[in-house]
Amino acid sequence: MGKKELLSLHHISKKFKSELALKDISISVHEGEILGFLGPSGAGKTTAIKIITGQLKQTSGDAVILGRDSRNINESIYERIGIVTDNSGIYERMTVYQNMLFFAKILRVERKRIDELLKRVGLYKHKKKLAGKLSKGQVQRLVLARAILHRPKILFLDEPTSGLDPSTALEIHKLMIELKNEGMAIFLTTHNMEEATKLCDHVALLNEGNIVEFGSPKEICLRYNTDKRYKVLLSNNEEQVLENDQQSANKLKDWINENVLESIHSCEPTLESVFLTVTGRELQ
Amino acid sequence: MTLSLHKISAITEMKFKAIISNKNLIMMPIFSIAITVVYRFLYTSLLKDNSSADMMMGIVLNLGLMMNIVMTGMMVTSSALAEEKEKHTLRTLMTSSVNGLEFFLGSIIPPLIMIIIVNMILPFLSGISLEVINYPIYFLITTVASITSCVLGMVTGIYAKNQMSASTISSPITMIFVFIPTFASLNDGIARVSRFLYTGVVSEMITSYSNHQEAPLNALNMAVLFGQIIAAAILFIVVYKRNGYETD
Repeated sequence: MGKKELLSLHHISKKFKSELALKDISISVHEGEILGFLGPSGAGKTTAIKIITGQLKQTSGDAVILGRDSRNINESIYERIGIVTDNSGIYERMTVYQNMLFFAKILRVERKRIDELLKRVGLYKHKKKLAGKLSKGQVQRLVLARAILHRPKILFLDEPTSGLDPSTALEIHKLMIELKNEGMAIFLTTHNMEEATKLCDHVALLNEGNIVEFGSPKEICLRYNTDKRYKVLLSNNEEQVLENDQQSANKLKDWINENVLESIHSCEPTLESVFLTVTGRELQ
Repeated sequence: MTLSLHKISAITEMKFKAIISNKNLIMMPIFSIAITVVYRFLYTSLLKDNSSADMMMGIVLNLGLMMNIVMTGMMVTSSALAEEKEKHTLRTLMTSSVNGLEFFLGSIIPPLIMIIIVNMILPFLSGISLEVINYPIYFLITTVASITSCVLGMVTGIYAKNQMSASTISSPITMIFVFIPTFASLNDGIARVSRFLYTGVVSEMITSYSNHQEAPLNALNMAVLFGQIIAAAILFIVVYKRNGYETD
């Protein structure tokens, strides 16, 4: 049996005055899946999250979240989703634990879950610290812990690692993979293509409100692998790029016979280079 | 719209902590108490005999009550709401299964309790003869007036983007509701306007007590008091329906 569809967008468009922020967007997210919504700033990523979570009304189209139209989203849906945006605030004059406890009371979550999550995000030893005294990375981990406090079915992460140091970003990536493995669906918006390639099952490349590419990161990269080149490293540390032709095949055969071939890699494009290709930006 | 008591109680507790830990907000009721005590001793030192003592102490009580009911009611409520927007906690809360009514109740209960406690302490601090005060009536009128101020504070809070703008928006409104009843005795025109303000009803009650009379529970006063709490609630609903708690 296939995985359950938790979220679907059907021909969503959003217009702000004369500007179209989203144009005919259709996607779906299933349980245990990480969907990446990728694009530069202003591409419409946050607008999409706001529409799906009922904070903004679309101009046309339908968004269905956990079986309910996002225009009629109610408390029972909010009890089953978690949202982390760059504007997710914390109560700065309350401690880390008090912040968690407040939302645990709202969402009727048992107290032992707070300690469990604080340990999981590495904030347990800071639980008595005022939230206003936390570093940016610690705040982001607190916001994430709070968002998953009630074990949501879908987690919305809007640029969760933006501006964080690599080790904190890595910890957040690790946590996202764990949550996915527990069956949580994650809707991730990012402009970090490397992050998307590493984490996402599917990605939608968004440019000026349009989805310009959709698929798994590997599929998309292979789709644009038109040059079919290979990079080889020889035992004398010499690197060579080979074309996909008979002459290269002969060279390879010789190197293998001579036992001088150290490694061989295909040179398919990265998501970043695909994005640049489809949006035409490399021409500028 | 459903109401969950556990959510209202959680928000109430959080708002209490937020108000108590915010020096600007906690200063408001303290300021009302301080001004009452300072004016009491100032007026007492000016009194040559006791014949006009209750009248003078009535003025002191009136001043303290106006400050507490209007300034604390509006400023604390609107600033607390504005702070939630400024720190981006409001949106987090509203997308955590809290509905507008639960947030509204959780937000006005803490300042309201604070105001009511101070309202009940002020007669003791003002020096007015306590036997002239009919406490049930005093409690009823000051509490209804305090609720009206808190609701108006929520309305101004909706239009305020941050705590600074909450003060800017609330200031002219608080001045109207504080100064008109305060200066009603100086001018007939102001007195006529004051009769139609909920703070005017509070002021009239205190004037009656200071003259050793019962509070005037006439139809006009009751209509003004309860009419304005209903008007404030309707205004809040209209503004909330149009903007939510954020006007963006």
